[in-house]
Amino acid sequence: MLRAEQNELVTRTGPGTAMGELFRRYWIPALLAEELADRDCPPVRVKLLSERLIAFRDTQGRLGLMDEFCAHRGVSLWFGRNEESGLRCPYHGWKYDVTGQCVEVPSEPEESGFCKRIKLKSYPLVERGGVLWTYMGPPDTQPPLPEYEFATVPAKQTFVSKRLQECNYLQAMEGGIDSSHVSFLHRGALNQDPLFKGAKGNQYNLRDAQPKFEVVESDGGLLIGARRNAENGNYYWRITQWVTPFFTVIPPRGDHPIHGHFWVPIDDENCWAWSYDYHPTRELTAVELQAMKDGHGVHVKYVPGTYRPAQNKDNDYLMDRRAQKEGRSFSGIDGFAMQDASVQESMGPIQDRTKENLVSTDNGIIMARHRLMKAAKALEKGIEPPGRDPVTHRVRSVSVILPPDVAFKDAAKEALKAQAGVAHTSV
Amino acid sequence: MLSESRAAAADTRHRIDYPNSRPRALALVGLGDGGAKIARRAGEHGFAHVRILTAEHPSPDRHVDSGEASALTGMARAIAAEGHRLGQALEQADMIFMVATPTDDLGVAAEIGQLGRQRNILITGVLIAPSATAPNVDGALELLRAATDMLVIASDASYVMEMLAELGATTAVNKGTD
Repeated sequence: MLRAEQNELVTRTGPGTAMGELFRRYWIPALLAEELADRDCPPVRVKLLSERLIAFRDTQGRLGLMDEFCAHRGVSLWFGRNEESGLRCPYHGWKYDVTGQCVEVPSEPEESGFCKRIKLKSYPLVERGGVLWTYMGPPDTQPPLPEYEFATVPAKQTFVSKRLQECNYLQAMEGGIDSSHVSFLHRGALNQDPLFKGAKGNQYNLRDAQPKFEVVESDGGLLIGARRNAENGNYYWRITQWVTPFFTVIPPRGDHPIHGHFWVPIDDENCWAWSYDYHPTRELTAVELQAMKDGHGVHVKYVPGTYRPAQNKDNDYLMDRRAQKEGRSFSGIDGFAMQDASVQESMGPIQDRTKENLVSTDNGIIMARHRLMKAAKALEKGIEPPGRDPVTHRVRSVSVILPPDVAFKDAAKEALKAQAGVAHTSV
Repeated sequence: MLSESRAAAADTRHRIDYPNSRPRALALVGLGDGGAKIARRAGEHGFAHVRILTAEHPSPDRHVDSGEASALTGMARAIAAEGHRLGQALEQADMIFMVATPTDDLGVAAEIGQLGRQRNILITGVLIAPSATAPNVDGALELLRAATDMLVIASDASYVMEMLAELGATTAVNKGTD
């Protein structure tokens, strides 16, 4: 349970808020590269951290992300013409380059230099790993580019998608570090989904619904170890990584690709759930890729032409009560991602945490909130937050069988690091 | 057929404003000198429904019951007495927490773990260590792991206060469902 003012602190990410300032110290996934695939392609509206922006790729292939609205009369530049190395407002022809600099005001004499006095707020936009990343903080504190492993392996080894989630980022992200819900919410899907089924670890998950947890702070965030009983007195460990402020890596299953998420605030009541799958040592197979495109695993099917899931709150997520009754699905919702999204969106646009009743196994969630609030308060005193150093990005999650007398953080120490060309540790 | 209430499914503005739980009884046991200090600090927060206990390891020559004729060493006898005292104190707890630092003597942890298991109460161990690689962390973790159901390694003691509050400890400021 959080006090109302704590809930406000940790969920509000708009300009000027403490958490918003914190988030603005990181590279943030802004768009899929496919959204701005070609030079002079249509611009894309982007809303991040409650700021309305417009993104475009100009004639020379340069990427721009800037204030969505023309400085003249406030027209959305989404209606603009992307041409000749700039985005031109259709209303009176004012034109901007990728830095937001106004380069033409047709109604003014060119010699007046009027356009030089007009500049829209802009942010850097950089392509890496199929994602366009932006940094929305002070330029002098811009960290090095992100080095999450999914974004650094060869393109054929990775797949990234995003989906709209209609709730605050925090309740979505808290689902990503809550390992105990897997045995309930995702029961059934574990043995059916093509990107999960067949792993021996699934059986441990399904057999033992009362895992024991260990939560350990890491340099970048947290390690959350969930321990279940395995054979011969050994333990099956699933170790989740959370990197400040919103990156998670889900423990892998068998030789399936590793997957995880970013939970990026659009505004305080909506977020982008970014989902990635990658294999550290091999290309994704055609079957795996097709399954991802078809919305299996951590991905979803979309409403055509959008990134909104086809299962959404307006159709009750296509809940199948019969499947639920007959035991084919615990929740009645199809697919991992929408099983999570359905329950998380049902909490409301911003979960009222003054009414929750956490239990001791929720310590991973408590610690993540603690670290976020602590980092936001420290930043106000000028202390840079964790998770900015690319070293803290180069991490993996692990599923592993260990003897009972071994600490997971030691036994799996090497496996928890991303190492190029080294296979992941997975049961 | 779609639910008639689907449009309201994600609108919690009209959520009933009425307590959905009764206060839980929490017990925080500070182990060793470091743990005891943190527990006492938590006590100063004025949490309601949190019983603060300390289990500083008694010295071998501390005879808690000098009249007892037993083969127990002074140390073991003292631990048994501590266990009895804690057992009584923990009887009514819904959740038990043990807090310690890596250099603390954790001799009583196993006793408390056993008490919790006998009463089917989940026990959480919190080790406050500046880093997971600090000296003595492994040994402390081994003892706590054996005695608890949930283990947290936190870098600063403020986590204990925050954890208690998030798990339902209330203060005058955070009145909750009192």
